[in-house]
Amino acid sequence: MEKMLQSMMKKFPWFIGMGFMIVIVALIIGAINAGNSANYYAFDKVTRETRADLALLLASVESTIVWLPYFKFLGVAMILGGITMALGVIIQILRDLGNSVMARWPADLNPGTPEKPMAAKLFPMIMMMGWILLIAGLIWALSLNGVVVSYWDHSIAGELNPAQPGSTLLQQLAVIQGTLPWLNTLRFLGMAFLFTGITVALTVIIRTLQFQEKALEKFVQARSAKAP
Amino acid sequence: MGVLALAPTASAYWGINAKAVRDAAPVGSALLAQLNTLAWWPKLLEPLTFLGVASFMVGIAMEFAAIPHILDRRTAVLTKALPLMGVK
Repeated sequence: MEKMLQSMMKKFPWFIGMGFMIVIVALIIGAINAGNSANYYAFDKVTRETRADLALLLASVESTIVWLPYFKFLGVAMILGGITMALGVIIQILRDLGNSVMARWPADLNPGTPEKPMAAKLFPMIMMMGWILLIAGLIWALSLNGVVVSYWDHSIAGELNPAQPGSTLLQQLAVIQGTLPWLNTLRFLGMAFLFTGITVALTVIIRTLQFQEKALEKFVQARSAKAP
Repeated sequence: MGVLALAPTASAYWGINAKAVRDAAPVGSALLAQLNTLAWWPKLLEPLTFLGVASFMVGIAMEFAAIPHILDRRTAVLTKALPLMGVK
Protein backbone atom coordinates (compact mmCIF):
# COMPACT_ATOMS: atom_id res chain seq x y z
CA MET A 1 0.00 0.00 0.00
CA GLU A 2 2.78 2.38 1.06
CA LYS A 3 4.87 1.60 -2.06
CA MET A 4 1.82 1.92 -4.31
CA LEU A 5 1.08 5.37 -2.83
CA GLN A 6 4.71 6.44 -3.24
CA SER A 7 4.80 5.48 -6.92
CA MET A 8 1.40 7.11 -7.50
CA MET A 9 2.54 10.34 -5.83
CA LYS A 10 5.47 10.67 -8.21
CA LYS A 11 2.96 10.88 -11.07
CA PHE A 12 1.44 14.11 -9.68
CA PRO A 13 2.00 16.18 -12.88
CA TRP A 14 -0.22 13.70 -14.73
CA PHE A 15 -3.09 14.28 -12.27
CA ILE A 16 -2.68 18.08 -12.49
CA GLY A 17 -2.73 17.93 -16.30
CA MET A 18 -5.78 15.66 -16.32
CA GLY A 19 -7.61 17.94 -13.90
CA PHE A 20 -6.89 21.01 -16.03
CA MET A 21 -8.07 19.15 -19.16
CA ILE A 22 -11.34 18.27 -17.40
CA VAL A 23 -11.87 21.96 -16.54
CA ILE A 24 -11.25 22.95 -20.19
CA VAL A 25 -13.66 20.25 -21.43
CA ALA A 26 -16.20 21.58 -18.90
CA LEU A 27 -15.70 25.10 -20.33
CA ILE A 28 -16.42 23.81 -23.85
CA ILE A 29 -19.53 21.91 -22.68
CA GLY A 30 -20.61 25.03 -20.76
CA ALA A 31 -20.21 27.17 -23.91
CA ILE A 32 -22.30 24.67 -25.93
CA ASN A 33 -24.93 24.69 -23.19
CA ALA A 34 -24.95 28.51 -23.18
CA GLY A 35 -25.53 28.38 -26.96
CA ASN A 36 -28.45 25.96 -26.50
CA SER A 37 -29.86 28.26 -23.83
CA ALA A 38 -29.56 31.25 -26.21
CA ASN A 39 -31.41 29.26 -28.91
CA TYR A 40 -34.19 28.45 -26.44
CA TYR A 41 -34.66 32.02 -25.24
CA ALA A 42 -34.66 33.38 -28.80
CA PHE A 43 -38.35 32.32 -28.95
CA ASP A 44 -41.25 34.13 -27.29
CA LYS A 45 -42.68 32.75 -24.04
CA VAL A 46 -45.76 31.09 -25.58
CA THR A 47 -43.69 29.26 -28.22
CA ARG A 48 -41.06 28.26 -25.62
CA GLU A 49 -43.63 26.77 -23.31
CA THR A 50 -45.62 24.85 -25.91
CA ARG A 51 -43.30 23.49 -28.64
CA ALA A 52 -42.12 19.89 -28.06
CA ASP A 53 -38.69 20.33 -29.73
CA LEU A 54 -38.01 23.35 -27.49
CA ALA A 55 -38.97 21.29 -24.42
CA LEU A 56 -36.28 18.79 -25.39
CA LEU A 57 -33.77 21.63 -25.83
CA LEU A 58 -34.65 22.95 -22.36
CA ALA A 59 -34.31 19.42 -20.96
CA SER A 60 -30.78 19.26 -22.41
CA VAL A 61 -29.90 22.68 -20.90
CA GLU A 62 -31.33 21.79 -17.46
CA SER A 63 -29.66 18.35 -17.35
CA THR A 64 -26.26 19.88 -18.17
CA ILE A 65 -26.77 22.42 -15.36
CA VAL A 66 -27.24 19.49 -12.94
CA TRP A 67 -24.16 17.36 -13.77
CA LEU A 68 -21.63 19.84 -15.21
CA PRO A 69 -20.66 21.46 -11.84
CA TYR A 70 -19.67 18.04 -10.44
CA PHE A 71 -17.55 17.36 -13.51
CA LYS A 72 -15.80 20.74 -13.05
CA PHE A 73 -15.27 20.07 -9.35
CA LEU A 74 -13.76 16.68 -10.22
CA GLY A 75 -11.24 18.51 -12.44
CA VAL A 76 -10.35 20.93 -9.63
CA ALA A 77 -10.20 17.96 -7.22
CA MET A 78 -7.63 16.26 -9.46
CA ILE A 79 -5.51 19.44 -9.46
CA LEU A 80 -5.77 19.65 -5.65
CA GLY A 81 -4.94 15.94 -5.42
CA GLY A 82 -1.89 16.63 -7.61
CA ILE A 83 -0.81 19.40 -5.20
CA THR A 84 -1.20 16.99 -2.24
CA MET A 85 0.87 14.38 -4.10
CA ALA A 86 3.59 16.97 -4.85
CA LEU A 87 3.69 17.72 -1.11
CA GLY A 88 3.95 13.97 -0.45
CA VAL A 89 6.98 13.79 -2.80
CA ILE A 90 8.55 16.79 -0.98
CA ILE A 91 8.03 15.04 2.39
CA GLN A 92 9.69 11.85 1.08
CA ILE A 93 12.67 13.79 -0.34
CA LEU A 94 13.09 15.72 2.95
CA ARG A 95 13.06 12.42 4.84
CA ASP A 96 15.59 10.83 2.48
CA LEU A 97 17.75 13.97 2.64
CA GLY A 98 17.70 13.91 6.45
CA ASN A 99 18.57 10.20 6.47
CA SER A 100 21.47 10.61 4.03
CA VAL A 101 22.92 13.54 6.02
CA MET A 102 22.51 11.92 9.44
CA ALA A 103 23.94 8.62 8.21
CA ARG A 104 27.30 10.45 8.00
CA TRP A 105 27.19 11.62 11.62
CA PRO A 106 28.99 9.76 14.43
CA ALA A 107 26.70 7.16 16.03
CA ASP A 108 26.61 9.01 19.40
CA LEU A 109 25.27 12.17 17.73
CA ASN A 110 22.86 10.49 15.30
CA PRO A 111 19.27 10.78 16.62
CA GLY A 112 18.11 8.12 14.10
CA THR A 113 15.15 8.28 11.75
CA PRO A 114 11.98 9.10 13.66
CA GLU A 115 8.92 6.92 13.07
CA LYS A 116 6.63 8.22 10.35
CA PRO A 117 4.06 10.47 12.10
CA MET A 118 0.37 9.64 11.94
CA ALA A 119 -0.30 12.82 9.91
CA ALA A 120 2.08 11.59 7.18
CA LYS A 121 0.11 8.33 6.92
CA LEU A 122 -3.22 10.17 7.12
CA PHE A 123 -3.02 12.87 4.44
CA PRO A 124 -3.11 10.51 1.40
CA MET A 125 -6.22 8.87 2.91
CA ILE A 126 -7.88 12.27 3.44
CA MET A 127 -7.14 13.21 -0.18
CA MET A 128 -8.57 9.87 -1.41
CA MET A 129 -11.69 10.43 0.71
CA GLY A 130 -12.20 13.81 -1.00
CA TRP A 131 -11.87 12.18 -4.41
CA ILE A 132 -14.29 9.38 -3.48
CA LEU A 133 -16.93 11.90 -2.31
CA LEU A 134 -16.61 13.97 -5.50
CA ILE A 135 -16.74 10.92 -7.79
CA ALA A 136 -19.78 9.66 -5.85
CA GLY A 137 -21.38 13.11 -6.33
CA LEU A 138 -20.72 13.02 -10.08
CA ILE A 139 -22.18 9.49 -10.38
CA TRP A 140 -25.22 10.57 -8.35
CA ALA A 141 -25.68 13.70 -10.52
CA LEU A 142 -25.40 11.60 -13.70
CA SER A 143 -27.94 9.12 -12.36
CA LEU A 144 -30.28 12.05 -11.61
CA ASN A 145 -29.85 13.19 -15.21
CA GLY A 146 -32.52 10.74 -16.48
CA VAL A 147 -35.12 12.19 -14.10
CA VAL A 148 -34.17 15.78 -15.06
CA VAL A 149 -34.51 15.08 -18.81
CA SER A 150 -37.74 13.15 -18.26
CA TYR A 151 -39.22 16.06 -16.24
CA TRP A 152 -38.20 18.98 -18.47
CA ASP A 153 -39.04 17.19 -21.73
CA HIS A 154 -42.65 18.32 -21.32
CA SER A 155 -44.55 21.40 -22.37
CA ILE A 156 -44.30 23.97 -19.54
CA ALA A 157 -47.72 25.50 -20.21
CA GLY A 158 -49.52 22.27 -21.12
CA GLU A 159 -48.03 19.71 -18.70
CA LEU A 160 -45.55 21.04 -16.13
CA ASN A 161 -47.54 24.00 -14.75
CA PRO A 162 -50.90 22.16 -14.45
CA ALA A 163 -49.26 19.05 -12.83
CA GLN A 164 -51.40 17.80 -9.91
CA PRO A 165 -50.25 16.52 -6.49
CA GLY A 166 -49.35 12.82 -6.73
CA SER A 167 -48.57 13.04 -10.44
CA THR A 168 -45.35 11.55 -11.83
CA LEU A 169 -44.17 15.01 -12.89
CA LEU A 170 -44.42 16.46 -9.37
CA GLN A 171 -42.75 13.35 -7.95
CA GLN A 172 -39.89 13.85 -10.41
CA LEU A 173 -39.66 17.53 -9.43
CA ALA A 174 -39.54 16.50 -5.76
CA VAL A 175 -36.70 14.03 -6.49
CA ILE A 176 -34.73 16.73 -8.38
CA GLN A 177 -35.22 19.48 -5.80
CA GLY A 178 -34.66 17.06 -2.90
CA THR A 179 -31.42 15.67 -4.32
CA LEU A 180 -29.69 18.93 -5.30
CA PRO A 181 -28.98 20.11 -1.70
CA TRP A 182 -27.43 16.69 -0.93
CA LEU A 183 -25.26 16.91 -4.02
CA ASN A 184 -24.09 20.42 -3.08
CA THR A 185 -23.19 19.24 0.42
CA LEU A 186 -21.28 16.27 -0.97
CA ARG A 187 -19.38 18.53 -3.37
CA PHE A 188 -18.19 20.93 -0.68
CA LEU A 189 -17.48 18.09 1.77
CA GLY A 190 -15.22 16.53 -0.86
CA MET A 191 -13.43 19.85 -1.40
CA ALA A 192 -13.07 20.28 2.38
CA PHE A 193 -11.38 16.85 2.59
CA LEU A 194 -8.98 17.83 -0.21
CA PHE A 195 -8.02 21.13 1.43
CA THR A 196 -7.62 19.33 4.78
CA GLY A 197 -5.28 16.84 3.07
CA ILE A 198 -3.13 19.72 1.77
CA THR A 199 -3.07 21.37 5.21
CA VAL A 200 -2.04 18.12 6.93
CA ALA A 201 0.70 17.52 4.32
CA LEU A 202 2.04 21.06 4.88
CA THR A 203 2.01 20.42 8.66
CA VAL A 204 4.10 17.26 8.09
CA ILE A 205 6.63 19.33 6.06
CA ILE A 206 6.86 21.92 8.87
CA ARG A 207 7.35 19.19 11.52
CA THR A 208 10.01 17.47 9.39
CA LEU A 209 11.94 20.73 8.92
CA GLN A 210 11.64 21.51 12.65
CA PHE A 211 12.97 18.03 13.57
CA GLN A 212 15.91 18.38 11.16
CA GLU A 213 16.70 21.87 12.45
CA LYS A 214 16.74 20.65 16.08
CA ALA A 215 18.92 17.65 15.16
CA LEU A 216 21.37 19.98 13.37
CA GLU A 217 21.45 22.39 16.34
CA LYS A 218 22.28 19.48 18.71
CA PHE A 219 24.99 18.30 16.32
CA VAL A 220 26.54 21.79 16.12
CA GLN A 221 26.41 22.21 19.92
CA ALA A 222 28.04 18.81 20.49
CA ARG A 223 30.77 19.53 17.92
CA SER A 224 31.36 23.05 19.30
CA ALA A 225 31.77 21.67 22.83
CA LYS A 226 34.34 19.14 21.60
CA ALA A 227 36.30 21.72 19.64
CA PRO A 228 39.38 23.17 21.51
CA MET B 1 -18.58 40.60 -18.02
CA GLY B 2 -20.82 39.90 -15.03
CA VAL B 3 -20.65 43.53 -13.95
CA LEU B 4 -20.52 45.14 -17.39
CA ALA B 5 -23.07 43.05 -19.29
CA LEU B 6 -25.27 41.23 -16.80
CA ALA B 7 -25.90 43.79 -14.06
CA PRO B 8 -27.30 46.60 -16.28
CA THR B 9 -29.23 44.10 -18.45
CA ALA B 10 -30.72 42.40 -15.38
CA SER B 11 -31.78 45.67 -13.79
CA ALA B 12 -33.28 46.87 -17.10
CA TYR B 13 -35.10 43.58 -17.78
CA TRP B 14 -36.49 42.89 -14.29
CA GLY B 15 -36.76 46.44 -12.97
CA ILE B 16 -38.46 48.35 -15.76
CA ASN B 17 -40.89 45.85 -17.30
CA ALA B 18 -43.96 44.28 -15.71
CA LYS B 19 -44.25 40.47 -15.85
CA ALA B 20 -47.08 40.68 -18.37
CA VAL B 21 -44.90 42.82 -20.67
CA ARG B 22 -41.93 40.47 -20.29
CA ASP B 23 -44.10 37.40 -20.95
CA ALA B 24 -45.63 38.98 -24.05
CA ALA B 25 -42.28 39.99 -25.62
CA PRO B 26 -42.34 38.98 -29.31
CA VAL B 27 -39.50 37.31 -31.24
CA GLY B 28 -36.78 39.81 -32.19
CA SER B 29 -37.79 42.33 -29.50
CA ALA B 30 -35.26 44.11 -27.27
CA LEU B 31 -36.81 42.47 -24.19
CA LEU B 32 -36.24 38.97 -25.56
CA ALA B 33 -32.68 39.93 -26.50
CA GLN B 34 -32.13 41.02 -22.88
CA LEU B 35 -33.60 37.72 -21.60
CA ASN B 36 -31.30 35.89 -23.99
CA THR B 37 -28.27 37.72 -22.58
CA LEU B 38 -29.40 36.95 -19.02
CA ALA B 39 -29.86 33.28 -19.88
CA TRP B 40 -26.66 32.47 -21.75
CA TRP B 41 -23.97 34.69 -20.18
CA PRO B 42 -24.11 33.12 -16.69
CA LYS B 43 -23.90 29.64 -18.24
CA LEU B 44 -20.69 30.66 -20.01
CA LEU B 45 -19.26 32.74 -17.16
CA GLU B 46 -19.44 29.98 -14.55
CA PRO B 47 -17.11 27.53 -16.36
CA LEU B 48 -14.89 30.48 -17.31
CA THR B 49 -14.59 31.45 -13.63
CA PHE B 50 -13.74 27.83 -12.86
CA LEU B 51 -11.04 27.90 -15.51
CA GLY B 52 -9.57 30.97 -13.80
CA VAL B 53 -9.58 29.27 -10.38
CA ALA B 54 -8.14 26.08 -11.89
CA SER B 55 -5.37 28.14 -13.56
CA PHE B 56 -4.41 29.62 -10.17
CA MET B 57 -4.34 26.09 -8.72
CA VAL B 58 -2.18 24.81 -11.57
CA GLY B 59 0.17 27.76 -10.87
CA ILE B 60 0.39 26.74 -7.20
CA ALA B 61 0.91 23.12 -8.23
CA MET B 62 3.76 24.14 -10.58
CA GLU B 63 5.44 26.05 -7.74
CA PHE B 64 5.18 22.97 -5.50
CA ALA B 65 6.36 20.75 -8.35
CA ALA B 66 9.58 22.79 -8.59
CA ILE B 67 10.46 22.10 -4.92
CA PRO B 68 11.32 18.34 -5.29
CA HIS B 69 13.86 19.15 -8.05
CA ILE B 70 15.45 21.86 -5.90
CA LEU B 71 15.62 19.46 -2.94
CA ASP B 72 17.13 16.74 -5.13
CA ARG B 73 19.87 19.14 -6.20
CA ARG B 74 20.39 20.19 -2.57
CA THR B 75 20.78 16.53 -1.57
CA ALA B 76 23.42 16.05 -4.25
CA VAL B 77 25.30 19.21 -3.21
CA LEU B 78 25.05 18.38 0.52
CA THR B 79 26.39 14.87 -0.10
CA LYS B 80 29.48 16.46 -1.68
CA ALA B 81 29.71 19.32 0.85
CA LEU B 82 29.51 17.34 4.11
CA PRO B 83 32.89 15.58 3.75
CA LEU B 84 34.43 18.98 2.99
CA MET B 85 32.98 20.29 6.28
CA GLY B 86 34.73 17.53 8.16
CA VAL B 87 31.77 15.15 8.47
CA LYS B 88 32.80 11.72 7.12
